[in-house]
Amino acid sequence: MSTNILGRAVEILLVEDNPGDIRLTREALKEGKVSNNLYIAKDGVEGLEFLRREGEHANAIRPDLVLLDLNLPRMDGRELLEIIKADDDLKRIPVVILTTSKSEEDVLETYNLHANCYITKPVDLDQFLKVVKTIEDFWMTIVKLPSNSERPV
Amino acid sequence: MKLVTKLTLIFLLLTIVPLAVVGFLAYDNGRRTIEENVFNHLSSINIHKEDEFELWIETNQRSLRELSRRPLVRDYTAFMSSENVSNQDEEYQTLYAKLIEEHFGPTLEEEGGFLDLSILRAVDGMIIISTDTALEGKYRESASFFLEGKQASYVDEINYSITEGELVLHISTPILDDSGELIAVLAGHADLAEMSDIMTKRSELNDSEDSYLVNKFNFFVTEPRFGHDFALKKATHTEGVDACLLGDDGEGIYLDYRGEVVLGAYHWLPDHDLCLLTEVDQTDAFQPIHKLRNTIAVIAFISGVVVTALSVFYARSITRPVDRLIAGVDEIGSGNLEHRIHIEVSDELGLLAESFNQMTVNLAESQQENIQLVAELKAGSVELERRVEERTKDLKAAQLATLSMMEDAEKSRQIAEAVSEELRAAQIATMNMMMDVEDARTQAELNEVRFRSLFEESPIALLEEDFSAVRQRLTDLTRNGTVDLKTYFAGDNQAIRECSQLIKVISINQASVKLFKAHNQKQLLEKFGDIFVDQSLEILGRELLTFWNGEMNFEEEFIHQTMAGEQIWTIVKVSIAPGYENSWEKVFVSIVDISEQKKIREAVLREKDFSDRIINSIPGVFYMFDDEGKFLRWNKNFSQVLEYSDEEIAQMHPIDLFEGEGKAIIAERIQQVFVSGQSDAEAEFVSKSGVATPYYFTGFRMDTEEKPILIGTGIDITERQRWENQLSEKADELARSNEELERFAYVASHDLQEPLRMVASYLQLLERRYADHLDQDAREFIAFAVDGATRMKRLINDLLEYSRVGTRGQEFDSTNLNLVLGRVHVNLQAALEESGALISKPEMPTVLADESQLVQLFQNLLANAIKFSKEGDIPRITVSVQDLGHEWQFAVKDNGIGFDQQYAERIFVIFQRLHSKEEYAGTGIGLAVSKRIVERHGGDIWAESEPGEGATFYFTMPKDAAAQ
Repeated sequence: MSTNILGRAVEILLVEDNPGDIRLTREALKEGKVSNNLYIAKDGVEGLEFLRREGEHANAIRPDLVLLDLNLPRMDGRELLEIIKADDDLKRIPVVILTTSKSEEDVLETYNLHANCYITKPVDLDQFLKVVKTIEDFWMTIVKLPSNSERPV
Repeated sequence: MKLVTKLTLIFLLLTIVPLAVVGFLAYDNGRRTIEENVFNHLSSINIHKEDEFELWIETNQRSLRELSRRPLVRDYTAFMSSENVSNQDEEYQTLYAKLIEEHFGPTLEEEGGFLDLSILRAVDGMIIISTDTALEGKYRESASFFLEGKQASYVDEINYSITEGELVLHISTPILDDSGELIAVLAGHADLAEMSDIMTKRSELNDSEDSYLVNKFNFFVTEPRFGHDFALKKATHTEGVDACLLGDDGEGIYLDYRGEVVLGAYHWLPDHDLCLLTEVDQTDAFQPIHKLRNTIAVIAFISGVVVTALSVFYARSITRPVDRLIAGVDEIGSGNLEHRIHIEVSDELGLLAESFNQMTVNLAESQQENIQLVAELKAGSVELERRVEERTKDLKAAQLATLSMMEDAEKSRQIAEAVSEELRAAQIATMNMMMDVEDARTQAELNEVRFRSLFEESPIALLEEDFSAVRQRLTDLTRNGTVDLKTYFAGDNQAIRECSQLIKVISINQASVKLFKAHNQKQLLEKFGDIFVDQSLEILGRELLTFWNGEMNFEEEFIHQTMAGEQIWTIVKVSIAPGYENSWEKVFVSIVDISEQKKIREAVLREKDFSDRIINSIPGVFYMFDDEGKFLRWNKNFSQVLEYSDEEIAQMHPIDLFEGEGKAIIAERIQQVFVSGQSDAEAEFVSKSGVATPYYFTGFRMDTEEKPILIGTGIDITERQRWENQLSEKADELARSNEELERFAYVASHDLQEPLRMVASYLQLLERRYADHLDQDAREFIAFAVDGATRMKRLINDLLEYSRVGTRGQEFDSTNLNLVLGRVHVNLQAALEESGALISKPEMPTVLADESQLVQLFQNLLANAIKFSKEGDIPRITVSVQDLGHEWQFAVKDNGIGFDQQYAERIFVIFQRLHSKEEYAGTGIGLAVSKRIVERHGGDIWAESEPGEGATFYFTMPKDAAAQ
């Protein structure tokens, strides 16, 4: 695997409750060209704990990218998005909405909540793999992110 | 009272009253002046006495002070009051004697204001030296004259001393040494006899003048003039004392301590807490004015006597000619119209006599005019009769023409009433005329012949009867013990019939003969009893009772029988002629036939009964009211629904039957009925007990001669409103459930996608990873499974789209269909190019619609037309539009494979297909979505086709936005 713009493995937090999708994402990232570490949170609450290093996730690593599903138990993706984007410490972390919904409403609402991009999960496997790779490629090798988004010591 | 007496009294009054008034005013005025003078005098005495009193006290005080300041007195006192000196000491004795003899003794004698003088030791208040040796050695350490006297010169209050057993006034002053140190107190016992002398010194003005002092406990301090040994033994509570003790100065008339009325002035002496009063007896004070009163009375009496004599004389001279005038008038009054009064004086009385003479001449002339009047009365009654006939004719005509109509029935009744009224008027006029004539005859000796002819020719049936035998019978009956004639008649028509037979008919006029259809007067006279039938006998009984009870007139409706045997309705008026009140010998009877009117009235009543039945049989409410809102008629339902009595409704206004906004609606609609002829309204009737019931009212205006009337009916719409409410509830429910269903479909299809994706993705992953380990079958199975999942995914998306037509539609906006078709063309670009399809379309209108849905609609229809083309043919598609007035009708016609018309409806049902998936791809959602879109816009969609002949899809779109 080639190095990315950061010169180290990319830290990715996936907030997703469906094990099938988790696995698929993991598979897709495996095939990617960027070295990465994938962390999983099963719902919004856990996602927030991870980001804030609370509870079990006291030693969590600050992710470079958040992949966020919308329909989640306990705290759904919209709420988590809103909290992240309202938090001065977290708001610069790019959040990619990755969901089954094609609903215009969802698209509009999440962009209003400052989502960084919105992607509908394709049914076709090849399509799905391609999408994940594209995300990785775009955010990790093309985009210039602020330096303070680097993981703290 | 005779004129002479009257005049005398008047003169007397005229003289005595002013005299009395002037006398009274003089007396009253004098009394006031004296009262004022007396008060002034008393007040000045008070001031004078106060001055003297103060002077007396001051003199005493001064002499005491002077004594205390003598150096020798001071020295002696200083020695004698020192503690280490005994009173047995020789020097002490010497000084004591000197003090008494050289100082105290001379002071008592020269000044004379004190009874005794003492020196009190400053240390303990012991009296060390006194002119009254009995006091020496006594202690006065707590007496106020000692305590105050240590400070400065002091005058004590006058009080009763228990130790001394009398009234005392102490005056004291300090004795100081050269350095101003207190040695002792010098006290003097003032001689109150002197004070009493001041008070009892009197002015010479009145015998009863009396001055005295009263202390704050209401006790006399000095002896009053009319009391003995009162001082500090008797209390007094007169008005003057009480007012004075409140600290006031003033004067008044009140009862003094003896109970005598006095004029008194009181004055408060604040320094001594004493009240000074000076009084004088009222009788004494007012003595001069009483003298004046007596003088006036004597003068009044003398003038009275003189005036009486003068007025009697003068009155006589006036009344003499008046007496003669009276005698003359009496003469004329007794019928001698030839008599003339002679009075030679030319004053007002002379003129009066002249006027009487003239009046006598006029009287003779007016007698002639009286006879003329009777003739005019007769002419008047003929005229009345003519008018009655005319109105009766009107009545008949009206009855015949319009009897069947309710409105005219009312008119007929009114005319009938009017005719009856006029008939009655004629009858009364005739009757009055007969009475007047009878009256005139007795008084002015009217020619009997003229009276007869009047009677005979009257158009009203008249009878002259003699009831004296009847009266005799009634008298006998009461005398025989049948005390109560009313009860007697009530049960026995025979008794009345017997009475009726006692009526003697004296004369009957021609009109009566005609009325009773007799051949002539003779027949009627002979068979007079026949005119009474049983029913009329009862009325006759009442008539006789009326007369028996002292009434002279009776009138009532009768039923009579004519000589021809038929019954007629009449109004009978019977009057006992003046002058025959006791004998009943002359009685006039007038009879008017009202049978005709009675019949009409009954017909009208029947008519009214008929219309009443009709309006009461109406299921709703019926009402009529005039333009002022006064109810004229209403049916039973009306009063039942509203719970008001008929009397209450008659007093109410229609607006009163509503509440709140109902009032405004009804007021406006009533107005509308009167203006434009008709209207209707829905409002809640509010009953007396407050029950509100919804009603639907319709009202029409009916114009009568007098005023417009509103005729209305109303029906209870409670039930209808209930249905309407239920219907609207159901509609709301349906809309809600539809919405929920759409929402459900949306959510369900959305959530179904997730597992589908799993199935498809992992199958593909399986194939990808393990392709080498799978055989051909496995790969094929996987392909089917993936295909199934993919198709299901598409179905779900279609379902989602279908449900979105209802839930995710946009607001309608003005939409240019040319632009819509342009967009469709772009969207279908690939298919059009591939198929080479040709589309013709006209200039399209602009409609009010959801633009994106119309794009979808046209796109579905055009895509279908391309898809179902015949193999090998170029698809030719024609879009057309037709203006149907209220809506547009669009058509999309193709030259494709068509379908059997029997499936024309089925193709619009969701997921219904006419072909296999292998032949034509698709889920069968396109037309179902199209149908929903058209329906959402308020239009219809349908298709016409034959297999192999192409198909035409039509849909409409209303122009009116409201219809959507």
